[in-house]
Amino acid sequence: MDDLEFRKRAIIDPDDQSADFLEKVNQSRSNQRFAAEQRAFNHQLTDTLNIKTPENLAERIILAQQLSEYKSTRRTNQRKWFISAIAASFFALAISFTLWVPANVNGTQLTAQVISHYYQDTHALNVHMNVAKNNIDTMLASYGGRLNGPIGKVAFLGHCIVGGHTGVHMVVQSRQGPVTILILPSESINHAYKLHDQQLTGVLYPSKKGSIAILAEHAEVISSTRQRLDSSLNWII
Amino acid sequence: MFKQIKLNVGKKIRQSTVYSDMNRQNRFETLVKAYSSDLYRFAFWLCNNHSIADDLVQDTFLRAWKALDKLEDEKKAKAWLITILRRENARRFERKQLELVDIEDVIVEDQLNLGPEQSLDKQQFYQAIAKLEIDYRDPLLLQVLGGFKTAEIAEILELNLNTVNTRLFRAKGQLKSLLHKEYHLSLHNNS
Repeated sequence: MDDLEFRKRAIIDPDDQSADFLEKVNQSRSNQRFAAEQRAFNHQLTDTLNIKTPENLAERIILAQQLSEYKSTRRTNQRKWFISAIAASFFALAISFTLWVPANVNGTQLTAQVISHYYQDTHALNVHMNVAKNNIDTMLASYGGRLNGPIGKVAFLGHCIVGGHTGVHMVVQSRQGPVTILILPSESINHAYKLHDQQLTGVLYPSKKGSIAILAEHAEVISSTRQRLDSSLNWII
Repeated sequence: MFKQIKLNVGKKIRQSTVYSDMNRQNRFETLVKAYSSDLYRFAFWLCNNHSIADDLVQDTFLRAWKALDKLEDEKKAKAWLITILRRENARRFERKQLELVDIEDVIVEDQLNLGPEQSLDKQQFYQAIAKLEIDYRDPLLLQVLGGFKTAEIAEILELNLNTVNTRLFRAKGQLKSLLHKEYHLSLHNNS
């Protein structure tokens, strides 16, 4: 390798590790200095190019992907969901709910809407976002709520519409699988209802503000989730 | 009895689909966390605009999500993502005529958080990089920002190795020449 070729290669890739290039570098001090200058230039370039990236970039990308996935699933499964919604309504009618006090008509309608929403939003069960507590606080704050303690690992958080009003849709991970929590601040009911159909079990009960539904495939997680939620959730408005 | 067996099989299939979705989601999130910053920087230096860079990275990862099953070798993930990003950028040109940015108006971002003297050096570097022709800027970004070797750059850009070497050589030559001009211009302005 002549000097001209060496200089050209040093400019192109000063970190070249091939034997002939390294041998040429070590032939003279001036070659070492030239290669070092080119490396320094590359480092200076890297330093300039390494601009700061926006905060929460990764989180925003993941959120966009999940929203896109949700929309796409909605489109492709629209027909399937329509059938599911009808099936859910049918199950709701056949619900075996235990009443602490006599039944309330609005409550019965709400149980049907809660179950229907659960089946329409099953995508939420497959989302694994590891939602930060401050995100939950921000969303709850818009309804006047606040969490004062842990409720478990929240894998999904979003707004939902049940009974014509918005609420908070959360999915908490448990050893027995995902537990769906619907916080419905605008849906007041007088009584608690036990819910179950062939796939899920749960409870819909009055809260200090509106009502809360907890649904899962396994009954044993319902009461523990309810206890944690009731002791952590405060309504400040 | 028959119904029970059928139900169990159905549940197994549903569970395995859920696990497969989880793996896919986890794999995607790992890619996002590992490469989103690098991709953002690459996008920014392609278009010189933070907002467009943000959109480009979002679109790139949405496409990557849809095509995730095609990524067989995780070691090639970065190169794969950059290829998608470059295609997204090319689509942007196809969709509409780009708004022209006056290079002289491009300023170093406040976010660089530098002292006045350092800032001037960065500013000069910034201006010089922004003025590079795209054919020269691409391989330079891949080498300096992406950390790719020249053979890998040739593969990503679908060029032969000699062309990549020539472009890198000329890119750095042009940069040094531009920096030299900027340096003398700043001396002149200061005096």
